[in-house]
Amino acid sequence: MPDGYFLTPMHGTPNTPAPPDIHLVFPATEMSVRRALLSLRASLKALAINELAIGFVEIILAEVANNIVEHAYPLNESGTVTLSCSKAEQGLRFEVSDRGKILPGGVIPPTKDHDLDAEINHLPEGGFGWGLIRDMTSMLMYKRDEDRNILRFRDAFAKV
Amino acid sequence: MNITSETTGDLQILTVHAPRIDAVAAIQFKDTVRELTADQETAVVLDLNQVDFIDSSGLGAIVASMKHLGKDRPLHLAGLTPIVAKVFALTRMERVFRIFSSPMEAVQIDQVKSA
Repeated sequence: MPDGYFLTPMHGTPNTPAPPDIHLVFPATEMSVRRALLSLRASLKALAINELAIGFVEIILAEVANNIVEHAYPLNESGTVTLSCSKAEQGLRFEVSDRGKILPGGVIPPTKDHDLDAEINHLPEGGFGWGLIRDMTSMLMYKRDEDRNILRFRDAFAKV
Repeated sequence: MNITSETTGDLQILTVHAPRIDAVAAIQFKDTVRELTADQETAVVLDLNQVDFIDSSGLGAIVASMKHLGKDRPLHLAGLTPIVAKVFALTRMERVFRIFSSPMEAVQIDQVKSA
């Protein structure tokens, strides 16, 4: 047995990245998003992430996944959401992908600037999602890869 | 969704007995608040102390409920848990509501005001 044999990484060569700590594939429905978030919560707890940070991650992923349910897949068409998460020294890294429609214009939508001094009847009831995602993540990146949407980000717990 | 109602003086207090107001629960939340506040005329305090998660659909449902009550019946919030408070802060919607630490605080301030 050559020296250093046991130093060989458990998972493939250095060229193949280690598998994520969490990998979930779930149907693109509101109820499945809720269940996936509860499952993610349990897994993050097992990775020794603290309760408040888990809550933050849950907000980000709820917005990302519900956007896919509501906008990427047409109504009555089934699709799935794939989520992976890796714990790194700098925090948690996420990748969320789906095979739905491309984001409008192929870019991450901007934060909506709502007029909160508007009369009560004109106050916004939606359009908060991408603002929350932008506020709570860092290194947010979107890529259309053939028929796949890929969103990558890190949680920015320290930022907010 | 289980929401209970109690009227104290000039305030109707609605307590949400659910851990989440999310996309799944949003419509049910709106409908239940609508039912419970019909036939009433007072301001409303929404006690969110048992709610530990809200997403933008849930937030939208609370804003919709406020609009439905109209200008003369303000909807106040009470008992925001950390994650719920964070969502209201980041979306700046905390500016739109009067927020009390507990329903009791809302009742006390209301009594002072009407004394």
